[in-house]
Amino acid sequence: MTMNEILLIDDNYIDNFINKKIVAKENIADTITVMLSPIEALDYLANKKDRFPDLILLDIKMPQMDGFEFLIEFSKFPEFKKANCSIVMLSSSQNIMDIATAKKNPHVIDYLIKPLDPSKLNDLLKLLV
Amino acid sequence: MFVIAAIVIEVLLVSSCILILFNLRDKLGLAPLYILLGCLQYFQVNLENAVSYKFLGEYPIYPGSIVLFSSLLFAVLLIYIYEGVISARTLVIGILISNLFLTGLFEITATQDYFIRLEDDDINLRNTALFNIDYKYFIIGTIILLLDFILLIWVYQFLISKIKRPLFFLTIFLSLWSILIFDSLAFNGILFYGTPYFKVSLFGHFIGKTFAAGIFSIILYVYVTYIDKVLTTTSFIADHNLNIFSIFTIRKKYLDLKVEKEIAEKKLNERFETTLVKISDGVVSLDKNWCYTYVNKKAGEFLNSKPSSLIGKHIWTEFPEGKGLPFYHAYYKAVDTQRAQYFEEYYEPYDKWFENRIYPTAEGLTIYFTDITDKKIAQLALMESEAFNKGILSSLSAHIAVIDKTGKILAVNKAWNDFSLANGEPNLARTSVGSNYINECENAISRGHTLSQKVLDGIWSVLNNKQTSFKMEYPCHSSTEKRWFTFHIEPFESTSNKLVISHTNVTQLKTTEEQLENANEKLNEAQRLAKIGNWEFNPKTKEVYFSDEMYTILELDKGPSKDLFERYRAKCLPEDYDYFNEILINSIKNEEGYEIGYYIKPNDSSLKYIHEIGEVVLDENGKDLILKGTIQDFTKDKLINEELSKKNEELKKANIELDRFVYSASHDLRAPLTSLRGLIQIVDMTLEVEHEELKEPLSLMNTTIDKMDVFIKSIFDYSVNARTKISTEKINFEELIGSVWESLKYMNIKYNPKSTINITQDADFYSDKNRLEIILGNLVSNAIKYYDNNKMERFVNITVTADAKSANIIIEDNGIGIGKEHIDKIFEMFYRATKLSTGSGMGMYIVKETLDRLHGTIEIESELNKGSKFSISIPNAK
Repeated sequence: MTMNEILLIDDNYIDNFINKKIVAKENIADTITVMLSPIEALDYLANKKDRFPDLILLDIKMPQMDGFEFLIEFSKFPEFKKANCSIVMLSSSQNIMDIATAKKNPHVIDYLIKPLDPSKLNDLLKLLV
Repeated sequence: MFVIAAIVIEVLLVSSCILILFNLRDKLGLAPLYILLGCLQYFQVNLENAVSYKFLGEYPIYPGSIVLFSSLLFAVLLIYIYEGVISARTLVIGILISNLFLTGLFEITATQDYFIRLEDDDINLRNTALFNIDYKYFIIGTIILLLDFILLIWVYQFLISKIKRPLFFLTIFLSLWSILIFDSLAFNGILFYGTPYFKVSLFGHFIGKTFAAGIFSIILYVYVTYIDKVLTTTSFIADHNLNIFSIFTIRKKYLDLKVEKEIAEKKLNERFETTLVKISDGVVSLDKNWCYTYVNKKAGEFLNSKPSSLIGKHIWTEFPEGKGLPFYHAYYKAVDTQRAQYFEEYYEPYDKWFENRIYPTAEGLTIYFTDITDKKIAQLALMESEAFNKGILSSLSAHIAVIDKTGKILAVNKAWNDFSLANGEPNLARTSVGSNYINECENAISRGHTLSQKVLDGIWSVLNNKQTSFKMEYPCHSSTEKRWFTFHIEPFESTSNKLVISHTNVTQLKTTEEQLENANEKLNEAQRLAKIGNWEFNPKTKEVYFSDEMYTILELDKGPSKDLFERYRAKCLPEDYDYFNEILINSIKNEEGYEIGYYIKPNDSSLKYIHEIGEVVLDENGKDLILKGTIQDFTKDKLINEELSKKNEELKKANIELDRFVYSASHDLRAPLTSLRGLIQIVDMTLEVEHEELKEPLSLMNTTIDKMDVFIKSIFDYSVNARTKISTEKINFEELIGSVWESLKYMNIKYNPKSTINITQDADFYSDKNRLEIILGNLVSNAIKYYDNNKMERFVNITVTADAKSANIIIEDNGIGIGKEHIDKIFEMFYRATKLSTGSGMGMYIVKETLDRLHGTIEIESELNKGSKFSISIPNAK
């Protein structure tokens, strides 16, 4: 399947580079948007006229605002806007607390540990279908 | 002349006869007089036909008849005056009866004569009848006589109440004369009225009877006034107030009186009888033959016999068991000596005490006996109580003596003497009864015994009424023991000059007192050392009690306790007052203690931190709620505490920082590694076929990164175990193992062993979840990592058995196994048992460390090339 848009939120340039490469290689989305901070991403989403991205890959540990804080802000968007939007945490943290917290969030459908690779992405796509 | 002389003689004879018989009435009674008068009357009746004396030759007077008739009236009057109406009436009736009887008798006799003579043909029958009565005369005369008597008494009674005493003669004369005149009128009126004889007869009667009245009045008056002299000696002769009809009415009264008298006598008798019967004394009379003549009811009860059945019986036949007993002898003694006997005895058959009083009488003996058992018991009880008092006195441990005002010892108790005997005075000459206490004191003073001076002063002060009593405590140590005594002087009685002195051994009291004092001192010492003071406070009265240490802690002067509360408050910080008041009110309201800490300012330059504990209790009277408690100077502890909590605070902060650091470090260290791994992957992905040789180094780069990753994770686990407190929670093993398995999924492990999980749980199991995860995570990842390449089928089995005590977890694999030589060392830090290990040598070390924290154990069974079995046991932390 192909998605309309995938949003990557990570402060780490290298990780964004890797993720973008993998997603592009798998060719599953029309648009790949990369945001270097959650604040930026919130701004982008708030100003977005058309529908939200189909998938957001969200890092946890980021300066100024971390992934969990982003999730709180995200939940404030109107329901219809985020209806088709799934969020997958993508972090290097293997911390059980982080995994548990992420899985409790209703918007989060999965938790992936970096680095992203094609097999993980494909498993994820299966989940999305 | 002879006629007059004869009349005078007759008058004198008749009147003197009457008066003599009357005078002799005390000895002879009135009967002879009555008989005489009856005879006179009869005689007078028969004189009706006697010859009359012609007064002035014309008027017939019958002197004999008049004299006799007048004498009858005279006698009746005399009797009436002296003996009263009853006797007078008796006389009247007697006269009438004897008159009738004699008349009748003589008539019968005369009739007998008549018939006898008739048989003898005596012709002069009529003339020879000596006493031939004219019945007309007789009946009328008798009726008139009766009337005369009655009238006489009426008239006399009437006159005596009207005429004064000096005119007593007149009373008598008028009485007699009026009756005689009446008699004349009646007699002549009835018999001769209308006949020519009437006038002369009447006149003759008048003359004769007037004379007779005068003469008899004179005789009576003379007798009363001069011979018997009653007129002058007694208040009056006859009852003034007697009713003039008393001659009739007195009879009823008399009968009433008689009945009344009989009733009274009967009552008196009954009362006497009842008294004798009812009195609690037994009364018995015996005659001289020892036979019962009287037994009252009570005596009957005592003797167990009916009183009536005893009368006439012989006492010693009835009560042979009494012979020889004390009362037997007493009876005989009373008879022999004719003196009353008195004794008390206990009579065993009745279990009673009797008091016997035996009086000899003319008839024999009268014995009173009384049941005095109660009295006797009381008496015995009294004796017992006296003995009891004596016993008490002698059993008292105090040495007691009574002295008089000169110091002479009058009485002592046993303890007094015992003490003297025990203290070197074998014959008691100086201290017992008869010796002089004051002298002994003076002797002792002269020997230099200063204490005796005090004793003596005490005695004098009480004797001279300067003091009501005197008390002193003194030591009196013997060679072997320490002793203390109190010496006490009290007046024996408030009025007497005697004194009671007593010495009481108070050694024990004293010792206890000393011990108490000692204990108190120790308490004070303890309070001083612990800087604890105790206090009591009555919120109602604001009364305060502080122990010594309170003053020290608060730096208060030990002044009067009146304003103690205010002085204490002054040491407190004013900003605390409201808080204190609130605590006070609440604790009283809820009857609940409190514990507070606060600062005081004991002086201008320093502060003290006080820890106060208070509780609410009832006061000694059980009325008010009061507060009791302690304060403790916590200043030093407070400082230490503050230091400690500051340090603690710092530590906490450091810990939090460390926590954050470890987290950040693990993340920040791992983040570049993952990036690196991602980049290698990109390179790998985009690698051209001609650069195939680069695949090998790229794979090695990945392995190196993994190794570093595991190491970082180990450090993180180690720090979690070492740093965090154990937090216990209920463990769901299924979930736990699931999440361990899940986390391993992210370890980039590229194969999948066959795994079975068996959980048997009897009871809820509690432990630290994070630590269990560390332990299981390491063991399970080892079991997966060190698989045996030569085995087609690889497995990891996890078995959990949990009960109330512990949980046993077995992790078994068919991996490469551990060489025997390594098993003991695998828990060492940085020890690696196999060259295949990609780890840091931290994993098993962390497992062991973490298990230790949970007080768990681990056992390993492993064989090289066969597999390993790790058994861990963790106690249930519930």
